Amino acid sequence: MSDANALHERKHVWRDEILLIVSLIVFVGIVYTLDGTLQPAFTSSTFY
Amino acid sequence: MTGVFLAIVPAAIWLVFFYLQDRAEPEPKGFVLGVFALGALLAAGVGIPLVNNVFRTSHWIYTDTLTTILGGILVVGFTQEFLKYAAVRYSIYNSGEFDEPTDGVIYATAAGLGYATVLNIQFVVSNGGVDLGAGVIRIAVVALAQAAFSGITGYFLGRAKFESEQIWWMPLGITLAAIFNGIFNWLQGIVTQPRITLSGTTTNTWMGLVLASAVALATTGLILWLVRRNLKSMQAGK
Amino acid sequence: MTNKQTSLGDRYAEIAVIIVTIAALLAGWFYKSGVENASVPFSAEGISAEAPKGWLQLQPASNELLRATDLGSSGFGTTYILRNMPVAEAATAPEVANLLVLEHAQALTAFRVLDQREVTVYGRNAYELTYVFVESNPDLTHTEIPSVVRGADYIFENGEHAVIVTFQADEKNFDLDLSRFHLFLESISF
Repeated sequence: MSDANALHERKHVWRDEILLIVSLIVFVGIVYTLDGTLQPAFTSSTFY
Repeated sequence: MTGVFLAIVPAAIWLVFFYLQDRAEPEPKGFVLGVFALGALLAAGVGIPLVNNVFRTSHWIYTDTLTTILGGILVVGFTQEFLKYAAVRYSIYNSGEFDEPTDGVIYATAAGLGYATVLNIQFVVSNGGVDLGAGVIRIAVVALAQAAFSGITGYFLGRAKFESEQIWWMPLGITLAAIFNGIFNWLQGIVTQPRITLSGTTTNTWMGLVLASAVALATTGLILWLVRRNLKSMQAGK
Repeated sequence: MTNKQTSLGDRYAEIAVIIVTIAALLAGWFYKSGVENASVPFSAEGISAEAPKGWLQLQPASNELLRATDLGSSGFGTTYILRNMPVAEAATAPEVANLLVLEHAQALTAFRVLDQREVTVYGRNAYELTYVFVESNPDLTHTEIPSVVRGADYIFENGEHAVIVTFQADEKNFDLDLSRFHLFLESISF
């Protein structure tokens, strides 16, 4: 990679990082809530 | 499929998070994904069979606290950290794309997340989906922890390539990562090991999870600090 | 920053990492063996043995002296049983084995004898009875596949008693757990 491209500072990186952490918390929250309300039972695989 | 989905989403989020840390010169996405896949393959093909079937850790590792810590470091820690190191050292390390010390952390965290994904799929499948509420938090924490521990190895690997370190440098990196890994596994063991009491069997789920999360977050903080210090010194050098 | 190919330093570091990892795994293996082979002395009715440390010792029933189970086993928990069974003085080991077969057939599900033969166990004459049975959780609401269990009884004639040492393990673990059982068998004296 050329030096011209090197060391370019990424913009909005802090915003992206916060968005990622929030999305992880949201994902965990959704699974936690769904598990609590639906209490699903899983099998290793399903065949039809 | 549920297990794969639950394991992949947190790993993907952490993968992007660590990928963003390379603020100077982003690595090719295909290479990062390739190392992620290699980490997963080594976990499924070598790491998990070695730990579970050859060392049969579940038979003896929870005998007492000392055994849990020592077994966690010597067997689980070293196996996992060596394989994650190997996923980087024998693939991307000699490539022209591995062109700055920070790349060691980026690729090693990718390998760690690949390894964690397989561990987490195994966790969901072996538990049969029981208590996914606490399980999904565990999945997110294990993914972060595996990434952070291999980040330690990656930091040492990056420095080893560009700063001609002593012969003990790389073994020290692997050993430190294995120690963190062992301590994490011990704390996490508090989650999975049932305690038999007079009133029945109970598990102290949250205590272990909080302690293990603290280790994972502290290690991540250390890695991010090292990466940013590298970045600053690079910018100062330029 | 310039890129460089594998240098001599890299090669030495690589070898050092491999050596340290192998050393750690070897240390782990020896530690594992130490933990697995750790034992606690046991003695009753003139029979002594080294029972595995950390195993759950259940309350022995009827002529049992010791019943120890490894809770860490997957599936059926690997179990050692030591019995001191009163028999007629003229009774031979094959006759005791027949008695055990009847007993097992009544108590165990899908019990089948695999083999029976005379053997020498650490210099002592014995009679070996190997068998298989199925262990299923009696709770009908449990949705788990029953375990196939392999067992081996070693019968030693001891005057008006027969000393019977039993090893039972999940079919998947039987061969893997056998060497630990041999240590237990070797430790028995009467």
